[in-house]
Amino acid sequence: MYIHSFGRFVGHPVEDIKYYKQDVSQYTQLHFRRANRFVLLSLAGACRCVHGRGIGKDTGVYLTTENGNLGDTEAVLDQIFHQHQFPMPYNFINTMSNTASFYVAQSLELFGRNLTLSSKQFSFERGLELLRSDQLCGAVKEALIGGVDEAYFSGQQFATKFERNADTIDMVEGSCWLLIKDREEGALGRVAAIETFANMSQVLSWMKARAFQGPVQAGFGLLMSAPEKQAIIVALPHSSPFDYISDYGYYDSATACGVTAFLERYQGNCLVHVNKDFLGQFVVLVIEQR
Amino acid sequence: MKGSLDDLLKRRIKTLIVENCDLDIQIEDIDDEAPLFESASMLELDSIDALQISIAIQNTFGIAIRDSKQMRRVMKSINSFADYIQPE
Repeated sequence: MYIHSFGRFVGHPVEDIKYYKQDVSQYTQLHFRRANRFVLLSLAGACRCVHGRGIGKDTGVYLTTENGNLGDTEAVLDQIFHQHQFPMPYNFINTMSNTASFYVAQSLELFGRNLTLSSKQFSFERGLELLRSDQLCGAVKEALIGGVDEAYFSGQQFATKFERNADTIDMVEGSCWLLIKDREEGALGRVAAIETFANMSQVLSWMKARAFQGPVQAGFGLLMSAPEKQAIIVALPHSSPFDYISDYGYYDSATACGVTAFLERYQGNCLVHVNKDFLGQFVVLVIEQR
Repeated sequence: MKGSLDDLLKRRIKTLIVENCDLDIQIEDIDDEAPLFESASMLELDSIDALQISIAIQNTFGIAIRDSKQMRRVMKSINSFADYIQPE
């Protein structure tokens, strides 16, 4: 899987939805009247990824997200259970999981495979795995894959989920995308490995047995503990920590942000990203950049 | 007073439509007699917008539009809308 371009839209949520509409209007003439925050967020990242380059009409769209249309889902539940009203149709339609990836395909005039995937803390990694399988069996030659999530509503919501103080984390929303092809020519880099492990000792054994190209940047998911990070740094020769969450803030599919930030900063380096879920499983993602 | 003669009510309905359907249009530009849903309409509304408006009307005025025939009749124009909400 060769990475040909990337796009990143990460920041603090802006209340006025017009901010996102204006941003997206830089890239497309379409008017997204009924689009909500999540849809526009998806578009902002995807459009940046392909801006100025021609992409094939059969390009697939793999939108990965941990929470999907969080804001509209909350609005619909509030309308039904608190206000005892019918849900507003726009809100209801936008809770459908595939709405955002439909809008991405529509705005970029893409007719390829169109998927929205969610797999808790590993959503982006599982999306890449699926894309790899689809490429291997010839179902998809090129695809846009993005990690999109809205910011947490509050520090309390974050603290409840992660059992840690929200004050230490900058909570942002994000939409980070890669254009991936099966062709090496013209690529910025490649996805060299995606591996899942049941425990930390398996991760370390795998790393010790593998050679990594060039200087290694070690990136980590939010659930990785300090001792686990240190063990990885020790296991990887010539590695340095790449703390993209401190640099850009946290949103739930932040792995995608880490990959795009690495591609922007570290030419000729290798990214080893280790993510962990609440079950204690690990996924290692290796990106090699030219 | 019939709704179609009540400028304040018609302004409320126009504001409700513009806000709920996220239209990029000034309410002064909406003609009271112009069709809201036909292809020639400047608002370019469709069936999903009709549902959105009907629920907004129900939430705001407490008036339910129960079936599609009634909806077509009521939502013909701003004047017909106003007369439905305020018949006398």
